[in-house]
Amino acid sequence: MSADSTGRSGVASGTKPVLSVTDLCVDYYTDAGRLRACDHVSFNLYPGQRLGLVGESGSGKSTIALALMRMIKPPGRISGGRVMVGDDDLTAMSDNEMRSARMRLIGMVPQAAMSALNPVIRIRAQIQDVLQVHEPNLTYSQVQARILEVLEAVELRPEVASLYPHELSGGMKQRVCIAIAVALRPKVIIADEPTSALDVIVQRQVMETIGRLQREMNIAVVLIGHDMGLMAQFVDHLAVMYAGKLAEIGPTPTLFAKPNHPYTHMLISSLPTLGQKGVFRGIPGITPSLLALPTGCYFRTRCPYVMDVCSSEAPTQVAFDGGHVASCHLSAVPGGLTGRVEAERDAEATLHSARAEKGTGEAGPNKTGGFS
Amino acid sequence: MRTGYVVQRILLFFAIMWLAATINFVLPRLATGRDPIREQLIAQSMRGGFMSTSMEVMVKEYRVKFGLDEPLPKQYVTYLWNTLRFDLGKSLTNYPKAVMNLIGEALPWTLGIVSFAIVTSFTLGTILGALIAWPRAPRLLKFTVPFLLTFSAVPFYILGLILIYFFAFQLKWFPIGGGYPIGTVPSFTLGFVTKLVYHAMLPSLSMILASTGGWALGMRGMMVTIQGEDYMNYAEAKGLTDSRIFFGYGVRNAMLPQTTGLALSLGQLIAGAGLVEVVFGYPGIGSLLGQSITQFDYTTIYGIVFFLIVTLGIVLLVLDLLYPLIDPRINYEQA
Repeated sequence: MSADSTGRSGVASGTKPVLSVTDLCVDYYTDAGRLRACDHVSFNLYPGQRLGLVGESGSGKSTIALALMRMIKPPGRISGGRVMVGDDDLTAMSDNEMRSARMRLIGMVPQAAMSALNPVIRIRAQIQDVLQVHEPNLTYSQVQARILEVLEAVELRPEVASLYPHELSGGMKQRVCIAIAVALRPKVIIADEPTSALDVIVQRQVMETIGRLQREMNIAVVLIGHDMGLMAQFVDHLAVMYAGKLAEIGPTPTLFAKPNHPYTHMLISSLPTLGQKGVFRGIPGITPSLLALPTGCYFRTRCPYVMDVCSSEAPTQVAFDGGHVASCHLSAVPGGLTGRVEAERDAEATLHSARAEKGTGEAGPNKTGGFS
Repeated sequence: MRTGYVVQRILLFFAIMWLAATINFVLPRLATGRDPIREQLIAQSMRGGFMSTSMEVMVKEYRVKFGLDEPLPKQYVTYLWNTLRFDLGKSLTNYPKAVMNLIGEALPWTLGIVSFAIVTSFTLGTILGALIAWPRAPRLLKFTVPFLLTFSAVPFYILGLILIYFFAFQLKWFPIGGGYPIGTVPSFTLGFVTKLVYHAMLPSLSMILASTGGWALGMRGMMVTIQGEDYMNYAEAKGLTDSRIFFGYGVRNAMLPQTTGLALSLGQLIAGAGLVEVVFGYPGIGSLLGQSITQFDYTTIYGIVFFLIVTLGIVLLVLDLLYPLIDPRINYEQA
């Protein structure tokens, strides 16, 4: 499956993508067999763009993050595809070239900020070693100045440099990690659930800091997570993953307004909205095991709009307007997903009014979870 | 580090020393039915083949000399005062000789081989263990694990006997025992020092072989655990060099429990070293203790035991004071 283009809305055509992922495959070789945690994933990221990567646990989000850093550990390995950052092909680099590319070309904000810092050395030394290894020509005073500079950039006091990680709060630790990630001004930063261990207030502050630095330094950000609400606020492009494949990718407003994959649609409608009270609608079932994937479309076992063709053929990528790409057989059906959803809604409305006549139903038609 | 804690820890050290001294004082006096002075005198007169009729007078005389006729509380105070002045009394078998002098003569020998063996095996074992656990280290190192396991399961003294049999008795590469060749006089000449090192080789080798494995296995376990830590992954994501990750992140963190292990096993190591000295007839504290036990030289036994407690107390005090320097998370304010 390949999505050749991310939305180019707002980006002048002809601009080169800063991160270009083509047919990326990651396989894990286990005793139970080979499993493909990342299956022909392709997307482009342009300078200054923010791409969100969402999906359930086990859908391959973090595998992509590790694959982009080329840090997949045995028994896993990148079994195909290409990752380009600017003109540098990360997949073709030697181990040592890749080592020097980390944080310099492609930065990372770790998932577990609470435990990502070395507990026995000071913050200063932890920022210093990343500066020294990538820019060995810096003098001592230049390094010290840079440390204070990046700490200021993430809104931390200079005194933090002399502290140990256990003396910082969770939000401060995450800020230190962000400082390390931007210290060398990479072209791309991968933020793997950067706020998963933080409370909502700190989460908001940390995301604001990432957003501000992203704008100031024109860094492209890949934000990985499963918080659709956070994604809606932060990213301008969204990629939805399911069982290691890209289900749908496109500009966030388009994706929320008119999803073209049932999974995206169900993810969005499972969000609570202020205007609508009632029962939450989740997505029934669980992600299939990567060792026992269904034939044809991987989502068909949980899809409410499943058709005959879904079990025999894997859907191909279909491009819509504005760089919106989805892989679903419904795209070939007249009316598409929207047609199905509307038909369902009409049926429900009829049922509601029938109930209302009997005096048992709830008033008001069901509203789709809009996030505009 | 807080001064309050340092003072507290030093006071604790003295409290432990006082307790050790008290136990050292009480224990022999609890052992009723045996009178070391009488036993010693009887043994000596039997060796002379003549039983003196004035035995009782002599016993009494010696009791006064050792202050054993005084009431217990007074004896206790005198004993504590003497201990404070490092006066551990006089040896019974080598009578007029002070226990402290005996210890002083034996100490350099023990200090030499034991500190050398502990430092070497700890350093060697720690580095080896860390490398075995490191995926990017030479594969060949992994084959050392079975040997390390075997050696760490064999006690010092048995390994010592095996080494003596093969290298001293069969192959005659090394001397069978002793600290220096019989007939030579200790001096600080190059020739004598070479002989000294030559004699110290097998005893230290047996200690190093027996304990390196333990350190290596402990370190290997810690390194394996630490490689699963998030900060190790993040260090890799930072693009740091392998050696920086290995030493600055891996070994640095794995060293913490390893150091605790060193502090905890120090007593055992010293006891083991004593046995090695006995096996090799090495003129150190271990051999002195062995001789004193076989000759019922009570004052020397208690003196050595007390001396070992003091040594161990000092080493643990130093380690305790150093610990917050290697692990900043240790906060003694609440301790």
